[in-house]
Amino acid sequence: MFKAENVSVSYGPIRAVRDVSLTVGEGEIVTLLGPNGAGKSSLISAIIGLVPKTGGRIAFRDEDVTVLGTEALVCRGMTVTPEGRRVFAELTVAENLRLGAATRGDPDGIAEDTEKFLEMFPILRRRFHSAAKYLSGGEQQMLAISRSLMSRPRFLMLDEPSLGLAPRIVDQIFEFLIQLRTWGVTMLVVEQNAGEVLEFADRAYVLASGAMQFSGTAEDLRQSGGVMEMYLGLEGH
Amino acid sequence: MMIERRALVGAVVLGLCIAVAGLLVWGFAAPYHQRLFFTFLVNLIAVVGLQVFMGNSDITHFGHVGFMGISAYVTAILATPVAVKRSALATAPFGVNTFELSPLVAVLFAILITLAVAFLVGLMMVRQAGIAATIATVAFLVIVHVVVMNWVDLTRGPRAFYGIPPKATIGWAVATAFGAIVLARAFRDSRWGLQLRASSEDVAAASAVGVPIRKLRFAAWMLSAFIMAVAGALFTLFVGTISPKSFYFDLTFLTIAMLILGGMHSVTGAVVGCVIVTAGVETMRFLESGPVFAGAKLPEMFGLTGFFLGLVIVLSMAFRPSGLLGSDEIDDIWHRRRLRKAGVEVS
Repeated sequence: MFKAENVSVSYGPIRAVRDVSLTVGEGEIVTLLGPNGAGKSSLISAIIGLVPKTGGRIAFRDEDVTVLGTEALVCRGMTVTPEGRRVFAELTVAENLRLGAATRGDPDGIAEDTEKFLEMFPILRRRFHSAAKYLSGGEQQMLAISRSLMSRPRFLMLDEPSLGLAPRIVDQIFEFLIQLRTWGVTMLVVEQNAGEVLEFADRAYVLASGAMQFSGTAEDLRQSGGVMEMYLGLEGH
Repeated sequence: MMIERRALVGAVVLGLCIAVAGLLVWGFAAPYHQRLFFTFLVNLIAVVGLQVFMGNSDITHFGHVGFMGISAYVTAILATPVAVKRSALATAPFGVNTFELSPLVAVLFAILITLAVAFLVGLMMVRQAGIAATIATVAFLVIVHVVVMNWVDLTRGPRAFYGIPPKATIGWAVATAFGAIVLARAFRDSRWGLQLRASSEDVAAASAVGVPIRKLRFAAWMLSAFIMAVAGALFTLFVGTISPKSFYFDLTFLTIAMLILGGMHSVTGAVVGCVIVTAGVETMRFLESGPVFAGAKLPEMFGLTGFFLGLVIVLSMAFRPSGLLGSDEIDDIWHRRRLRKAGVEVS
């Protein structure tokens, strides 16, 4: 359903991403792995139109969306949960969720979805009228993902959802992602820590120094000790 | 534009406070105090207009008074009687000294022309953010000033433009201030206002949920310019005499100080800041002239007002950078108190 071909991103003379291609099929969870500074966030940002692409094409649901801006992409059902739990700290949990529905105009559906996430994360209901800055790291990540889902995306990109969270919270977040798959949300999960995400991802890509180093099923990657060790600092199985 | 009921109630309460004060002043105060109160209302409208752009987009705006100036001069040029213009603007272009418009029609033209200028400047403004945008707004103010100063045939240049019919009353000013407050709250608490405020906190996160940042910035810019235009026209039609100095750094600095002290993210803050700074400035003006106090003649201290404004900005920045009200509106305070009583977490 999603296809990026030969995407490049440059910051001045620095080529952060070089001719990278990846595809994500309907209903899949695909993970994009790589060490710090590999260009993962740059690639995601370029896909969603937050930084300009210097080359390449992007297609979503059989439509060429290369030149579309972020807003248009969100309207078509793509979105990203940015790295580092970027909630709107000064705004309340309620306002954060309402902002997730910025592209929607159906008050009833918005109310229904809000209720769904409050049901799923009771802490968000308790803090509904509090500023988001008073939430813990894990709570902020739950809010950030819920906010992304308020736009009813078909394709969700998550930029390092486990970053800086306690292992117990990471488990909870990943369990939620697995549940999301059953709702029909296709996902691209960017991670630095390969271990856990490979347990539920269907396929994996490994990016290093701005170039794609590996692509295959999660199982293949786990087997290929060399790639795991060289780029991800893990022992292969 | 849909507005939440709570925000509307807050806006109306705020507007009513101003209206009641206005009616008391109108009915009972001496002419000097009426004049003072009118100036206060014009400043209030201007600060609210400034809040619409600066408070929601978080882009520091030093050019807002430029819009006031454009509107003030267009109003003056169109509404001043031909008898006055024939001598005051003897060499005026476009034949503006051959006709006069009723004040209301003149104001309409003034608003339209100001909005046309705001449109062109806004197209460039919304592409910038942060310091680049702020510098552009300063440049805009300087350009307006230089044009007014040097287009002598049309504006009388640095000399006073006199003879404008003083048709505005305190009643009009109160009604306009009320309208400006409601409009500013309606924008701030609409979904557009919320989205723009979110984008000022985090551009990337706001884009990622599909917020059309440039469009919203532009909308806030135009609404702000509209309110500034009304303030400029109202001022002109009250004082009857204007000069380029009326719309330059002094007024810019005064209105910025008001907004920063009150809290630029809040319309209530804009109003509170305006009240406090006006009271402070008038006290300073009184002290400046070296009054007799408890039998002793105080020394004359010219410049005390400017010193006071500078001090207000420095002290707010140092001790309360988000202003007295922060991001709170009057109804937020009630609402939180009610929730807390009901046992809901709001911290």
